[in-house]
Amino acid sequence: MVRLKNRYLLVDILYPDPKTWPTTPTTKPRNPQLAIHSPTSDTLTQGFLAKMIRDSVAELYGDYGIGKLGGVTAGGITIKYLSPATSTAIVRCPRAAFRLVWSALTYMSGVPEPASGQKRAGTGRERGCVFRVLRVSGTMRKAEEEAIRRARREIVRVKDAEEKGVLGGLVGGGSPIVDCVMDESEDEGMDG
Amino acid sequence: MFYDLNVPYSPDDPEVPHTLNFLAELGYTTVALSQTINGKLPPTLAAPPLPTNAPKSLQLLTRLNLTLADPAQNQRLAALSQAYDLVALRPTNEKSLLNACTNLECDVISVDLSVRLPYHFKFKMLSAAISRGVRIEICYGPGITGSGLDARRNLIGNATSLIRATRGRGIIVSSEARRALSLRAPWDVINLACVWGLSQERGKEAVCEESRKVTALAKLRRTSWRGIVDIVHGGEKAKPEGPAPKQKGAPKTKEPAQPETGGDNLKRKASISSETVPEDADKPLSKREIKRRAKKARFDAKGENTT
Repeated sequence: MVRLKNRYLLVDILYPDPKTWPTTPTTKPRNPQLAIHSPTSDTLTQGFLAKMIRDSVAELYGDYGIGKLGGVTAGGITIKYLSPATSTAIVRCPRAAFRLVWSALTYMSGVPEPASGQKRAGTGRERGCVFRVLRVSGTMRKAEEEAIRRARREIVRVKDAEEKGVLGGLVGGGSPIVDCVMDESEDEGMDG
Repeated sequence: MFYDLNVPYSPDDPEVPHTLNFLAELGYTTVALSQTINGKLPPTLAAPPLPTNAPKSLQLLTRLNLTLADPAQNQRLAALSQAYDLVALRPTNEKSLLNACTNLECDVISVDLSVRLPYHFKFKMLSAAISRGVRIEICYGPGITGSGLDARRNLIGNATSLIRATRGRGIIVSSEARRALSLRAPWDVINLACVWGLSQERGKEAVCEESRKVTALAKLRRTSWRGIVDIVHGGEKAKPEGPAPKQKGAPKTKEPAQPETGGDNLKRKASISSETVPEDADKPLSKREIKRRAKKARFDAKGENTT
């Protein structure tokens, strides 16, 4: 039986630039981990993200890249899941072209921010961001599990850091960060 | 386990803590903060002070990027390497690249790949550097953001030709990101290296093992005698009769010592046993041995007869 093989990329949007971090009313020192993972604006829709990726592939690889994705009319890239609140997305692409899509994501460096007063994305300026691919997997279930696992760990980590901040550094050690590194090493789910 | 050996740094830059936080967030464990010097060296050489508020998971190193235009201008590389953890050379023309590959004492050769280079990389030149333990660096930063289309195109082209010329060996990939925005996560970098022509394993090595080798080798060069003998443990209390420092050596000193002690004993045993076997009376003689003895007896008898 012939089967169309896909790859599911679990993508995470990070905001390293402190100028683009959302302002909070509280004056207490901000947790940088939390700010890096700050939410994306709601104007970034699934269709728009797919269009952005397709444009980036077209810019990097030209007609060859678009052809590899399955032509203009065929979907090629579909966003299976997008959560602006956690800045996480799952992108489906053909298996033959996943490196193209991945490098296109690497070369992207901004999400559109609506200008004040306008509702549609793509009209305002760009907000600098980094797209990080967390996992490449052959089934969507695995990508989803990974997303849940990571979200859970992030929550524990940030909570830990807050508690430590309250204690005033009485408890030393950077265990939450080390645990992140451990997981980073196995985030490659490239089967095939 | 992931290394980024080129992060431009100046102590009074307000963005530094953000960059370091972001590096830690992306999963890097060792970061080299680099300072660039063009042309003449200042009279006093010292690494800039490291930032104090860096995340705990990051190990920070200091690094110097030295732009090398004229091979004749002899830099005080020995003095430099004492002041910095890593010394990288940035040759601007083919002559200085050749000089850096074959002669100069440095840890990393980092060619600016975001401009068009008027020469080709030659395998002989680069392999000379790699066999000396000097690694070649690809900086992906200028190609990601900010520097325009040409920089990106040149970077891809030059990186591909560099990978082709070195056959994928001895390459490290680092960022040279002036802002946190042009940093990328390690696995994204590995994928980029894949697209440029490295294999997946080699790409991973470029961010992990090869970079680790660079730092380890650089450390060894600075602390040890000619990079061969290093004193690991001074041996103060454990040995009351031996005041001489115990030198735990790198392979070169160990090699001759090992066969004398461990290997020789074994061999002697083997040779003794092989000698004793024929003389052993209890053991039945083999047919071959019987034949040989018979022949010998015959020969002796013949000899006696003739004489």
